Amino acid sequence: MYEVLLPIIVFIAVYIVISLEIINKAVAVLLGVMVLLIFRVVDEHTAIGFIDFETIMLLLGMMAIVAILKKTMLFSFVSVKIAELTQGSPLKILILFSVVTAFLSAFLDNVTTVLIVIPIVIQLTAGMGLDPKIYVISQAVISNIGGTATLIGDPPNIIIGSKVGLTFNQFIFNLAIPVIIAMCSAMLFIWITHREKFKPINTNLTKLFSVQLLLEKIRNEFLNVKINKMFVCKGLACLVIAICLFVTQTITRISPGVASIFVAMLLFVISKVDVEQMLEEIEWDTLLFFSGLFALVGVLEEKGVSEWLAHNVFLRVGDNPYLIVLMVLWVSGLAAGLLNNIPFTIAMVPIVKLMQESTPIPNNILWWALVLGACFGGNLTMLGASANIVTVGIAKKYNHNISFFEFMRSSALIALITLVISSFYLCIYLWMSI
Amino acid sequence: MNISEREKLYSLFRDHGEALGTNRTTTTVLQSFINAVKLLRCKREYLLVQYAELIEIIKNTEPRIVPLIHLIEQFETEIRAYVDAGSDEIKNQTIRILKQKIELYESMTEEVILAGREHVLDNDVIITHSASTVVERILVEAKKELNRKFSVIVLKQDFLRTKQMITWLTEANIDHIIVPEYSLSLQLEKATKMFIGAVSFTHDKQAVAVVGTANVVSFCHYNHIPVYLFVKTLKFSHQPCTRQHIYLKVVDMVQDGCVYPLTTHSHDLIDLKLVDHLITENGEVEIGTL
Repeated sequence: MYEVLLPIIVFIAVYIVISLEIINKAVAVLLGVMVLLIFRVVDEHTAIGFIDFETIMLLLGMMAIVAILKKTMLFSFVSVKIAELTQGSPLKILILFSVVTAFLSAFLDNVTTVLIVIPIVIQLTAGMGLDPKIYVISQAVISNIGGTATLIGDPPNIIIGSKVGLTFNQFIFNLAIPVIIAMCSAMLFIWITHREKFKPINTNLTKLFSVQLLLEKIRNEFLNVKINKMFVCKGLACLVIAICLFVTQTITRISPGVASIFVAMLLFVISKVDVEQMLEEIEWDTLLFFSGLFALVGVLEEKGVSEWLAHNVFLRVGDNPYLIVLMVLWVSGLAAGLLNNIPFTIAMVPIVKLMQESTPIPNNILWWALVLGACFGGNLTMLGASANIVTVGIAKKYNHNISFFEFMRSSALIALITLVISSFYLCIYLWMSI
Repeated sequence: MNISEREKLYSLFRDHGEALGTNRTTTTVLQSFINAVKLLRCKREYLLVQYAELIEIIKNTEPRIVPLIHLIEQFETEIRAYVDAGSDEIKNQTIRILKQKIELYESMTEEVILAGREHVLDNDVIITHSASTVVERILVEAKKELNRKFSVIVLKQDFLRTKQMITWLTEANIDHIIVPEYSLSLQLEKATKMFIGAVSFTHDKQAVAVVGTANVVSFCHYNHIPVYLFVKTLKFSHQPCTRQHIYLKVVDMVQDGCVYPLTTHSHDLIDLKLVDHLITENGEVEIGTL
C-alpha cells in the first residue's frame, strides 16, 4: 500500500508546486523522483528506463534548431514587415499577427513564437495609444491553437507523438481542419467582443502619422542588425530538411527525434555558430523537467495507478465511443487548463493507452481528443500553457500588467469555444470512421 | 488628440532624436507625414483641420526640432495656394511639397558634410559624443573620399547611441576606441578635436544638444581641445533657449531603500562661447557674426 500511496502523494505534491510555481519546475520534479528513489519505491535503472528519450531528443533537436534560427533575425524581420503591412489598422494587426503567430508556432515552439511576436505587438499597439492587452492575450491564445496542428508545434503533441508513434503527417492531416476553424473562431470572437477597439484609424491624420513614426522606431529597434543572407539560407534550408524528414518518416523510418538532432548538428557545422553560446540557449531545465516527469508517471504506471484510473474513472462512462472521446477531450481541456498541459499530458498518455486497449476507437481519435483537449484547454487560464506565462511576463516587462483573471476573462471563453468545435469535429470524424 | 496621446507622440520624437539624431528625425518626420497623407481617407472639409492639428503638434515637440519647424512653416506657406482645391489635389500637392523639403534638407546636409570633412586632418584624434548623421558622414567621407588617417574616441553614453556609433565606425573601418564619458580626462593628451552636432542653436547663442554634451564640451574647451559644431543654418532658432521646450522629467527613484525625486532634462544647453568652430553649409561661420 505504501509503495502505491507514496508515488501518488509525491505526484500530487509536485503537480501543486509546479502549478503554483513555488519552485523551479525541474527542481520540483527531480526532488519528487529522488524521494521515490530514497524510499526505494523504484530503483535508479528502472526510473531512467521510464524516460522517453524520443521525446527528449525531439525537444533537444528542435530547441537547438530554433536557437540558431532565432540568431538569424529572420523571424524578427518577418514580424517587422507584418507590422509595416498593418499600417496601424487595429483589425489588420489582429489578423496578420495572428496568422503569423499561428504559422510560426506550428513550426517553432510556442514560447519562441511569443518571444518574437509579442514585443513588436506591444510596441506597435501601445505606441498607437491602444490598449495592448487584448492583442497580447490574443497572440498567446493563437500560438496555442496554431501549435496544435503539427507534431513539433506544442509540447503535448511531441509527448503524444513520440509515446504513441504518431507521425508528422498524421498530425497535419487530422488536426489542420479543427485548428483552422478554431483559429478563425477565436479571431472572430475577439473581434466581436472588443469591436470598439478595432475601429479603423485611416480617417485620422495624426494617428496615421504616429503609426508611421512608430514603425520607423520598430524598424530601428528590431532590425538594427545586418541580416546575413547566407546564414538565413542555411537556417531555412535545415528547417526545410527537418520538416521533409518528419513528413517522410514512414518511408525513411527515421524517427522525428533522430531527424531533429541530426539537422541541429548539421546546422551547427554549416552555420559555424558559437556552439557553446548556442547550447546556453537550450532550455536544459525543461528537458530535466520532462525527464523527471516521465520517471514519476512511469512509477505511477508501474504501480497500477494509471490502470486503476483508466478503469475506475474514465471507463466508468461505459463503452459508448462518443462518450469516451468527449470525456477525454473535456477532462483534458479543463484539467490541462487549470493545471498545466505538459505534466497533465504525460500523466494521461498511459491512461489513454489503456482505454484504447480496452475500448478500441478507430483512426487514433482518442489520441486526437487528448491532443485537442490538452492544447486548446491550455488557453483556459494563464497557467494552462507555457506560452501564456511567458506572454504575461513580456507584457509586464513593458509595464502592462495582466492579472490571472484578466487573462482568463479573455481566454477562457475562447478555450471553451474551441473545445466545442473540437467536440463536433471528433464526433463527425468518429461517425465517419465507425 | 488628448494630452496623453500627445505626450506619447512627443516621447516618440525624442526616441527618434536619441537613436537617429536630428537630421534623420527631421526627414523621418516629413516622410511619415507623406505616408500618413497617402493613407488618409477623410472628407474634404476635415482635411485642412487635420493638417492644422498635426502641424501644431510638429511645431511644439519637446524639445522643438527647429529645422523641422522651418521646413513645416515653408510647407504651410506653399500649401496655402491650394486651399480651395479638391481633396486629392491638396494631398498630391502636400506630397510634392514635402518631398521637395526632404530634398532641400538633404542637399543642405550634403553641403555641411562637404564643408565639414575638410576639417578632418591626418593624425587627428577626434572625440565624438552622440549619434549625429552629419558627424558620422563627415568622418566616413574623410576616410573614404579624402583618405585621411585619423582615429576616433567614442564617449560611451547609453548603449543604443554608442552601439550606433560603433556600428558605423566599424563598417567604415575607422580606428576607434570606446571610453566611458567620465574617463575623458585620461584621453586629453591624445585628442586633437571634438566634433558635435546639435538640435538647434538659438539667437541668444546657445546650442541645444543631446544630454551630456555640455559637460564634455566645456571640459574640452577648458583643456584647449577645439570644439567643432556642425549645423545647417536651418537649425537657427529665432527664439531664445528658454523657448526650446526642453523636456523636463521628475521620476521617483528607489535605490538602496532611499526614495528621492530625480529631475532630468532631455537635452543640454551649450553656450556657443565654448564652441571654437561653427561649420554650416556656407562653410565656417564666425560665431560673433550670428
